[in-house]
Amino acid sequence: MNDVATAERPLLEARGVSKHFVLADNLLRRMRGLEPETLKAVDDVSLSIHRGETVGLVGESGCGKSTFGRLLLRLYEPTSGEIYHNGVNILSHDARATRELRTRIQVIFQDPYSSLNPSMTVRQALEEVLAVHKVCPPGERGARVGELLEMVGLAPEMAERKPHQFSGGQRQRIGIARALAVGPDFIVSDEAVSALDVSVQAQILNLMMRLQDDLGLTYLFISHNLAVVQHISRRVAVMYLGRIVELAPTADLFSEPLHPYTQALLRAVPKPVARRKAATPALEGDPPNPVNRPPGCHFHPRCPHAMPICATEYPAPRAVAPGRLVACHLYDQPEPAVKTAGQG
Amino acid sequence: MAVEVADPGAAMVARIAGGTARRRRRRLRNWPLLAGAILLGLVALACLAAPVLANHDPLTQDLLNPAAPPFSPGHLLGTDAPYGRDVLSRLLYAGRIDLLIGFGGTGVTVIVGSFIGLLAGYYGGRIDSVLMRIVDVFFAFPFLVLVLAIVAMLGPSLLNIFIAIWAVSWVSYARIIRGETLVAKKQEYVLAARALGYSDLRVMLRHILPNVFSAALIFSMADAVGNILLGSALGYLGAGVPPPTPEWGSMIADGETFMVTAWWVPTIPGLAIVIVGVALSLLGDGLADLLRPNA
Amino acid sequence: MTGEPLLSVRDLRTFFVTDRGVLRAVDGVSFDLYAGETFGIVGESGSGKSVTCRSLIGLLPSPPAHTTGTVRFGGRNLVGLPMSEMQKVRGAQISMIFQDPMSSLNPVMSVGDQIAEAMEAHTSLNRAERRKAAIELMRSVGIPLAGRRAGAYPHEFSGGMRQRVLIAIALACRPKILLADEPTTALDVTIQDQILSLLLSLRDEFGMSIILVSHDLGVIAETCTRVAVMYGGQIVEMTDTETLLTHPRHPYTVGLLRSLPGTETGSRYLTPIPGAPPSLIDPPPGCRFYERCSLRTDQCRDWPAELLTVGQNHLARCLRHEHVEEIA
Repeated sequence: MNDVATAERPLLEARGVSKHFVLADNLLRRMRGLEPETLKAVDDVSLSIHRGETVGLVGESGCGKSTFGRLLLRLYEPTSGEIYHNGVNILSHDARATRELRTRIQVIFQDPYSSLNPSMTVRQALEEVLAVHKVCPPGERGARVGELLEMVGLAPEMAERKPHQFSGGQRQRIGIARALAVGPDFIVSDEAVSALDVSVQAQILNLMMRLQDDLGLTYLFISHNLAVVQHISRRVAVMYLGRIVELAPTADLFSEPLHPYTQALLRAVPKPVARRKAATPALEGDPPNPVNRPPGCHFHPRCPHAMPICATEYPAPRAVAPGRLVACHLYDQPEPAVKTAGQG
Repeated sequence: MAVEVADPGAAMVARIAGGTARRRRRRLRNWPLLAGAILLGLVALACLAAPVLANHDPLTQDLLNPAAPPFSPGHLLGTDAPYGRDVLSRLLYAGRIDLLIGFGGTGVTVIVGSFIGLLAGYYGGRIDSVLMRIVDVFFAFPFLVLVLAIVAMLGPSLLNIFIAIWAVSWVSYARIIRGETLVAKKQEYVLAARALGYSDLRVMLRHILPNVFSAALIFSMADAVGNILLGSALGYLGAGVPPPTPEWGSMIADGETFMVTAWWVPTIPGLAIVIVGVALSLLGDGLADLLRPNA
Repeated sequence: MTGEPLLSVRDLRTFFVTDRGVLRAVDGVSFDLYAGETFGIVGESGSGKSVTCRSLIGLLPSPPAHTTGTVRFGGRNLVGLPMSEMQKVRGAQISMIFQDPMSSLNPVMSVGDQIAEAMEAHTSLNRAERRKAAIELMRSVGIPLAGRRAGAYPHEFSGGMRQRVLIAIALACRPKILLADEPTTALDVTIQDQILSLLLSLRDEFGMSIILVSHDLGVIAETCTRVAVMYGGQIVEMTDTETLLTHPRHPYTVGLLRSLPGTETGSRYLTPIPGAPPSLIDPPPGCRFYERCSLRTDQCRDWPAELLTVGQNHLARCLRHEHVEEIA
C-alpha cells in the first residue's frame, strides 16, 4: 500500500494554496500603521491526491483542514496558489466549467442533523440534483433515486420521508447518496463519521470503502479521529495552524512519526487498551491563537525538541524518504538524526 | 412467546402514564391555532357574505330612526346616530375594508421584505450594507408618522393607504429574514447545495427561504393586526378611507360623541377590531408552536 | 474493593412521559461506587448513561421525568430528597461537570467569581478567603497566571481552559464524588489528554471518587478502574477495566470492541454491529440486545434478562455469556 510515487498524474493537486481571512481592517488600524488583522487559515499547502486512493487529513480544531477541503470544493476562493484537477487549473475556470467541475468533485459533511434540507423529502433533494445537472432524462429520475438509495443501503420506499424521520446514520447515507448522484470521481469527506456512534460509524465507513471499491472513488478524508484515519487512509497529512507539518504513508506515520507534533498527537490518543495514564500529558499548553501565530515554526513554543533556529525560521517541508515529508528543523541535516518517541 | 417475561418497570409505567386523560389532552395541545383559525374564518366569512347577511344598504340613512338600540325591529345591532344607518350592515361592509387592509398590506410586504432580507443576508458585503442602511433609515421614523405623511401627500383613499403600508412595512421583514438567512447560509445543507453548483437564486429560494420563512409568517400575524389598527387609526384621524364608506375606525370616531347616549355605535366596531386582533394573535401563537422545528 | 461503598445505587429507574408514550431511559440500574476510585459508564447515544448521571443528583425536571429507586449516599436516599436538601448535597458533596465548556459558564461573571460562588453557597468563608481559595483552585487546575486571570471572563479563555475552570468550580467545596459527563468530548485530543491527566491527579490530591460517563472506550480505558457498559437503558456488563477489554462477556461489548477501527484485524472492512438500538418507549421484554445479537437463541427470547455473575466482580446480562469466545 506504499505505491505513492506513481508516474501517473495526480487526480487532484493543490500547489501553495493559501486562504487568508481578513478580520479587522479599518481606518484606525491603518492610521496606526498596523497591517489588517488576518487569519491565515490555510498557509501555503501543497498536496497531491492520486486516483483511487484515500488521503487522510488530520489535525485539531483551527488547523485549517476543513477550510482546505472547502477550497478544493471552491466554496471559498483561495487567496493564492493553484488547484489542478486532472492537470487543469480549476481556478481559471469560467462559470460553466466550474459548474461542470461540481459533478466531478463532491462532499460529505459532518453533521447529520444539518447536512440535509429539513423542508425537502429525500426524493425532492435527490431529484433536484439530477434535474439541475441533467444527469438523466426526466422520466428516469424516479428510478435513479431508487438506485442511489439502494447503493447506500436504504430502501427506495424511504425516499418519500423527510430528514427528521431518519436516524443520524441514515442521514449520512442520504448525504452520501446526494454526493454520488452527480457521479463524481473525487469526494471530500469532512468529518463524515465524527458525529456518529461507534457502531454506526463502522457501518458508514464500510459503506464508503465499498463504494470506493465499486465505483473507483478517490477520497480526501478529513478527520480529527486518528484511529479512523489510520484504518481508511493510504497516506496521511498532519496539519497544524494552517500548514502541513508531516505527510507520509499511513503505516509509516503511525509506526514512526517524525514531527514532534505528530508524535504528541499519537501519544495523546486514548486507546481501548487497559493501561495507566501517563502522568504528564503528551502535549502541554494551549494551542496558540491562529491569528497571532508564533514566528518561525508555529509549533516551537510547545515543542519538546525546540532549538534556537525554530523561533526564527519556518522549516520548509523536506522529503526525508520517498513519499515522506516533514517540516521540522530536526531533519535539516542531510543525514537526519531521526528523533522518534516511543509509542507508549 | 409463551412465557410472560417479568418486567419490574411495568408498574411504574402504568403509574405515570396517566392513561386516556393524557391522550385526550394531547390532541388539543395546539388549541390556539384551531381557535384563532375558526374565529378569523368566521369573521372573514361574515364580511364576505355581507351582501347576503346585511339586510340594509350600509349607506342608506333613516333619519326617522336614529340611534335605535340593538335588537330593534329590522336592526339587529341598532342604528347609528345621527344618520340612522344600520350598524350591522355597516359593520360587515366595513369589515371587508379593514380585513383587506390587514391582509393586503401584509401580503405584499411579507414577500418584498423577505426577498430583500434574503439578498442582504446571502450576499453580505456591500449589498448587505446598502440595503440595511436603507432599512435603518425607515426604522428611524415613527411608523404612524411616516404613513400619515404619505397618505396626506397622496390624499386619503384605500389605494393610498395600501401604498403607504407597502412603502413602510417591508423593513421589518427584511430584518427578520436577513438575520435568519445569516444563520441558515452556514448550515451544511446550504453548503452542500452550493457545492452541487446550484445557482444563487436556487439556493436562496429553494433551500434557504422555506426554512426561514416561518419567522416572517409568525410576525405577519401581528403585523396584520397592526395594519388593521392602522387603517382604523387613520380613519379615526380622518385621514383614512373617505366617508361615507364604512370603516371600523371611522365608525368609532363618528360614534365617539354618542358614547353615553348610544354606546353601541362606537363600541361594536371597537369589539370587532378586538375580536380580529385576538384571532390573529391566537393564530400567530398556534403557528409559532406548529412551525417550531422538531426537537 | 474495600469497605463500604461511598455511593450505592439500586434499581434506579428514570422514565420520561412523552407524547408517544413512556420513555424508559434508565431501566433498573444498580452499582456501587467506592472511595478513591474512578468508575466509568460507557455507552452510545440513547443508552441512558447521561440520564443515569443526572438522576443521581435529581437534575432532571420532574415532570416529564420520574425517578424511582435508591441512591444511597451519606446514610440517606437521594431519590425523592426535597430540593432544599438536594441543593446542599450538590456542589458540596457531589459535583458535576458537563460536556460543553462553552455554554456551561456564565458569560457575564468573571471566572473567579463563579468559582467563589460555589464556596459562597456551601461554606462560611468570607469574601477575601473565597477569593484566595478561588485563585488557589485555579492554580491547582493548571490555569497559568491564576492571580491575574481570576477577574477575566469566560470568553477570554480557550475551550480547554474553560473546562479547567469548570473543574475548579466543581471542586471548590471538596466534594466526595465528581460526576463527569463526557467532560472531554468537545475538546481536541491533546487537550483531552491534559484534562484527563488533570482529573486523575486531582482525584488523588483531593481524595475523591469520579464517575466518568463517556462513549469513548479509549478514554474509559485510560482513566477508569471499573466500568459499566450501558445499552438500552440497562447495564449489560460491569467489571474492572482490564477484564472488560480483554475478556468481555456480553455480545454487545464484544461487538463494540470489534467495530472499533485500529483493532488490528488486518482486514479492510470493519465489523459493525448490525441494526440499531431499540426504542426505549416500548422496549422489547427480556434481552434488549436480542435483535442484533449473533449469539441469540430461542431461549434468550423468554429469559428475563437479569445480570448474572460471570466471574469475580464481573456481571453480564447474557444467557450465552459462556459462548462469547465464538464471536470474539
